[in-house]
Amino acid sequence: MAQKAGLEPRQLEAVAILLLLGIFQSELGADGARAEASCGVASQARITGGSSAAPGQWPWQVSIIYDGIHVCGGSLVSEQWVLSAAHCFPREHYKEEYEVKLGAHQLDAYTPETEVRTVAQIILHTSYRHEGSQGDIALLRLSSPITFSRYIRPICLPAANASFPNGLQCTVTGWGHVAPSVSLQAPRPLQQLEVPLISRETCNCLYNINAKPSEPHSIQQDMVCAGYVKGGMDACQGDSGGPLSCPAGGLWYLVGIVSWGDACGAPNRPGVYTLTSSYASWIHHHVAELQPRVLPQLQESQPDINLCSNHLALNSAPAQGLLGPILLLPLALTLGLLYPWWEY
Amino acid sequence: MEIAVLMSDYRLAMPEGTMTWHIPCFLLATVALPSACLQFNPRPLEELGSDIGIQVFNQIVKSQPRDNIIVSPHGIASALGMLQLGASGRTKLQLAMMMKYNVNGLGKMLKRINKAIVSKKNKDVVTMANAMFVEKSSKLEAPFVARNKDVFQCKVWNVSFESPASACDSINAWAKNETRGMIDNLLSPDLINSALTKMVLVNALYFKGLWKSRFRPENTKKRTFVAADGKSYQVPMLAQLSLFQSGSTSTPSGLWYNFIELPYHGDSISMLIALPSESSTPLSAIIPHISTKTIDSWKSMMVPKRVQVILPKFTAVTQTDLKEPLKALGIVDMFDPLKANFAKISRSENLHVSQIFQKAKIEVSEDGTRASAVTAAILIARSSPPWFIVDRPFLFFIRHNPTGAFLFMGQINKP
Repeated sequence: MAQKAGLEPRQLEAVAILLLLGIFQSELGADGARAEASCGVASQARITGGSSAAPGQWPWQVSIIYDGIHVCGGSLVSEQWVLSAAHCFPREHYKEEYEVKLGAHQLDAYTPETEVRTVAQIILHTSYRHEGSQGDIALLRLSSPITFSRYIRPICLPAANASFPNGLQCTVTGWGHVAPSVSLQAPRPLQQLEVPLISRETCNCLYNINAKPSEPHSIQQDMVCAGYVKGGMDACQGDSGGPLSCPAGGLWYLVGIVSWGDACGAPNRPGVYTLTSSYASWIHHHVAELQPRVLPQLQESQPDINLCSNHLALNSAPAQGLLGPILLLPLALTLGLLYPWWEY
Repeated sequence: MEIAVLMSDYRLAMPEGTMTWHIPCFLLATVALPSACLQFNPRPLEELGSDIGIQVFNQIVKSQPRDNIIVSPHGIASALGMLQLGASGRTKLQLAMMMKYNVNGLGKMLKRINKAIVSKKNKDVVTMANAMFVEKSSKLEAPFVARNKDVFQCKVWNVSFESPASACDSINAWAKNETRGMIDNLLSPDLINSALTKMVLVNALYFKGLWKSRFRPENTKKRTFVAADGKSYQVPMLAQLSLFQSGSTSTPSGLWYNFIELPYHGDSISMLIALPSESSTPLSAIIPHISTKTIDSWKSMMVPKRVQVILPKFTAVTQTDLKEPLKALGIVDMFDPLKANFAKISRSENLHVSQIFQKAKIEVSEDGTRASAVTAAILIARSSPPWFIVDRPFLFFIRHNPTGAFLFMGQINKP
């Protein structure tokens, strides 16, 4: 349940800390941040692309299990909290039936590094209504705190003002389907895939290509996309709730939470993620100790509408329709102004 | 999905036994009683009809537990109904007792059911064809011919069984045409005895259903199916993530099984699949528990859920001799040359049923309509849905929901 707290002083405090952290980080530089950071550090970095991860490569990745079956992914963000997607917790499910598996690599293998916790509390965002709606985010409190290890570590939460540039290569990980209706084969090693970030505007443009009017899909304010216009590589069923991890200043940030997509890997249908930074204050409101991290300065984001522009050129009929009145309006005004003068 | 046929075949009895059975009136009254109660609702009547078909199926699978068996319960009920129209005395009594209704009082209702099943409203291609092929020389009773035509839309054709090959050819050509080529080589000439066969009764049922929500061909992949013989086979399987009605329940002996409803385009016909929850539970353990009542009870237990369905793509054809299963269920006299009484079909000749068999074919494929907007809108989330994987022997039912008629049912032990 959402608790109401006296936010004003605490919020100020948080801002102060964030500002301090920001200064601290920018002074120390990337290596310093890595040495000091309590989040976002993976033991090994590696180029990814639809392959099996190495054990411990994504130590914040957790498996959310319902009634003994893996249903979703999640990300460890502190000793006791996991961030996931709201749609992984439908109303008819019982909280008691959920388990969180941490430090897992192969879902079907049992290793001493793996820890399992039941769920003490589930906080769903109240604006989540249905698949594809806003607010597809959930906080889970583990029944007891976890001890960090090489295989179990939290990821950094980006601050509200954090912006990651379009085209940034991020990695989505999970134990979901490897193709539509094709489950990952035993022993189910964690899969990783490098996907570039796509802006919300461009993503909306892509989702409008060959869209069925009966099935409108719109990318909301609290969503971000990642993937490929040509399709083929994407997250899929079973990956929901899992992390879209992006590197910045030597640390990994939870930029997105796997949420939805039209099929998986279809052309012009990149994966849609809940934009974690837009919930920085919601997260902090519910779990005061969860401190989003201010990012070091990243490069300026370049417009990426060109990803959708080929289609804009082809489907320019409605645009031309708009262009007409826009050109005509100044012309009419000019004529209107000239008219009284002509009368003379 | 495409399906077909039933056929039954009568032959002339040896002329020596002339039966004169008189049925006590009170017995007829007992048999006729349910008909009065059923006048206004087709469901109970069709369920009685389909229940006989299901009982016949249960008998068949007892002797062939490891084969693929497909029957049309509705077709069996129709064939027995046609026979009941022509039967008298104890022959009729046995039929009516078994079927739990007397066709005589229910002609209108049966006619309505038969019409509803082939109605264009279904949007599925359901063709039901009944025909009687009669030896040119036999003198048929006109009321029987007329009633059959009215209730079962049964056509009467004249053939000469004296040349089995040409009689066979014309029957097969008719069946093939009526089932749009689905049922080929229905009869072989050696089943016709030029001296004894006077009449062949054929009931053909063909169905080509399009799924309400089609399976995408690109999602069809080879997957492992563990057949009844315990061996693993790689078979193409259809896959679809969609919103389906499904549930699970247990037999009185506590064996759990899952069921799911896959609707066809038009919504009046559905395929129901039942699958034991544990792979160690044999199909034969749940079959005796299956009846129209049981299947009706699934309805109240089903909830709509997004489910990942995996279903074999297959074609199966079975031809089943119904004589022994029917005898086991107490329909004996009509097969006995000395006891059979079909005086209403022909007074001039003594008829008995020497053979009755059914041929049914089913094809399960991807074809169907695109998912509806409502379904598509809630199928974008990327959580892992529950799976309904039909990768071991299963039961299926093709049901016409408005009437409750079971057009087909089957067990598939190896697709």
